[in-house]
Amino acid sequence: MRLSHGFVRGEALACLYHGWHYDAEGKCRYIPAHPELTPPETITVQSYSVAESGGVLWLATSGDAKPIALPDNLQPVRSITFDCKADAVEKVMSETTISDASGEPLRANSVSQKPCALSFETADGKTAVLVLLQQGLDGTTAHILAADDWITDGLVKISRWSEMTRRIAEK
Amino acid sequence: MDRFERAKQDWYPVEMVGGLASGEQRDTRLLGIDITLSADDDGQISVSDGKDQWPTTIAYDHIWTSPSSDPRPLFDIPEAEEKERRFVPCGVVRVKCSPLRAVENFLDIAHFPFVHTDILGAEPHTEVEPYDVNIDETKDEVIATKVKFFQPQAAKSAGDRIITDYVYRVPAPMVSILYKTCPPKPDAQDVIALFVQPLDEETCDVWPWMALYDYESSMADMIHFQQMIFLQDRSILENQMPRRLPLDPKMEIPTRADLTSVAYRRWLKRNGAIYGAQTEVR
Amino acid sequence: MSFTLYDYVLSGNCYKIRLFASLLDVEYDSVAVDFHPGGEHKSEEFLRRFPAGTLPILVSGKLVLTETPAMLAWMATSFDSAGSWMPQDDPEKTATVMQWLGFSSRLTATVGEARLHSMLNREIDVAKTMSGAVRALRDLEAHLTEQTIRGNSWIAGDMPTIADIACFPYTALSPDAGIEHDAYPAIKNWLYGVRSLDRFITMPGIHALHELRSGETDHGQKRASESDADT
Repeated sequence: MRLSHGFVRGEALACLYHGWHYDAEGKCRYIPAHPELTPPETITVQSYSVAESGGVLWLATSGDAKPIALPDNLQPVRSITFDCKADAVEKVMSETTISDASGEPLRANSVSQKPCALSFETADGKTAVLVLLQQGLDGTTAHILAADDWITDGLVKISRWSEMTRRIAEK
Repeated sequence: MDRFERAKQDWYPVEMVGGLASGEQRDTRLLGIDITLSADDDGQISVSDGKDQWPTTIAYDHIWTSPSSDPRPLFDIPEAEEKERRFVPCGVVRVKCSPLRAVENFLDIAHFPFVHTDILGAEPHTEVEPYDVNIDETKDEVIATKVKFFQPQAAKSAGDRIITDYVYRVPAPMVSILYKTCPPKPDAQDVIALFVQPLDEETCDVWPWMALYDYESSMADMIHFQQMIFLQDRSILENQMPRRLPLDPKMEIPTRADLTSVAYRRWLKRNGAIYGAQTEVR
Repeated sequence: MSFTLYDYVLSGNCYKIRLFASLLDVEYDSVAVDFHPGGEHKSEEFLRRFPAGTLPILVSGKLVLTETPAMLAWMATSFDSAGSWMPQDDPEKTATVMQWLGFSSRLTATVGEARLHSMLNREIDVAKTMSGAVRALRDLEAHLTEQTIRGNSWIAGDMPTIADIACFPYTALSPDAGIEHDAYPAIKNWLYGVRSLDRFITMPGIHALHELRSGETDHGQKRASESDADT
């Protein structure tokens, strides 16, 4: 049963089906059907290295999670999923602009290949909007962050811009 | 081992009695084969795969068919003859899961407090006491007895919390029957069965059926209670991985609560009933 | 009793009324109707009483309601003395709630139909219904994203309203139709918020929030404190 359907209790993640509790290393710690039993060491789920950096969770499927360096003045805007591959999303985003508060158009600049990251920068080179692209099995998720001086209306505009890029990319 | 060999010798449910009106036709699938059900002017159902007519039989308020011209005899449920009972065919539900997983889930009680919360079970009453599981060698069926669980609302007819006694019986690879404490008639047992139609190895139409002693509830009330329980399981069933039921002993879960599942899987393997199962070690 | 509800346990629309009644702490009489497999809501007997031939039906005295937005509005007006579930003091607030009540019927027509097809074998135009369902969920996701940006946790503002109740069931049940919530993080947060409401009740396909059951020992804690020395 997928653990993503489970529930968190304290420091454990419990499976929705029988309530088996797993700790942060993926070891089973408690089986509700047998409350007195110490679960065998062999009952373990695969765990991965995770790091938190720049308001983003980074995961490595092998070895240690190595986040790319992010500017420290960013706030999360949204994570939006596209029904197409990451390179299609990257292409469309690179060909569009986002307008900042003063109406100045910001164009994308690729800042990293792995993972794919696009930075929309102001004239003085400060990151105004950062997009991290995550390629999944069925599509791509764009994790969008903006500089913390963006106000509400500007953030809504960024959200709408991401929907526009989705309409184009999915055609 | 031919995945199909044992499976094609059994009978399978494909419709409720009265589910198809005279002159009506319906397409469905069984063991990966497309079939058509037709009701003639008298309401008699026939089944065809486009080339041959398949045998049909009526039992437990359902129409059964088989790809074999000479299937093994259908299992017996003596309680179906007890006319004072109320017989409730609950209507088909489609689930994207292996037919074997649908059966195995029905045999499990450890999930009651988490999936059927405050109905069939509730925290902190999660402990599963030891029970007995045997193979009835004469009939070649899996039987689990002395199963008990503390339940907030065991049945539509149950007023309050009770310890419910259960007997589980698997008379065929894709049929699961439960006999449980019956609140209105404590010397008898309510019978609840799942008849599973395998569309293919990873999709099934489940036909639940009940034979109850309940003279208070309306038919709709009893159907709703059973559908509520089964639909709570459906999202679990559709997310179980791997999709096909692993039969390799190395993949068995070593806890006492799972004795019935372990016995069921071993029995399936012994009988070559591997349709819907994963037989390679991954 | 405040009203009688003609009800089907697996219906998302019926659940809107059951859920709202619980949140309002209002008692009602319930009549189970055999929607599936019996098709009782289309029987001559039922149609003679209720020509609409749909579920739920809400009856209170001479009042017979057949559309869930109307039922939710009547319940809010009749039983919510605080007036927050259906704000009537401000035309803009009222209109906003009504807009999303209107939207909720898109969810019923797409996600709801796709679910009936996946679960109960109802015949539908699968491709068209599924793409309509994804569009409706994406529209809700976009709106909830903007609400979050504006500091609001609910569909029509900073308090839950009947707009949230109307949109909740089919959104929560989309996995029954094969549409998971992984691509809809704003929706996931909002669903969690609805499920956390006082006197929230579930329906099949929507699990209880086991996180919220108190008094359970933290079985993960042992390990965390054991490994303190390593960090």
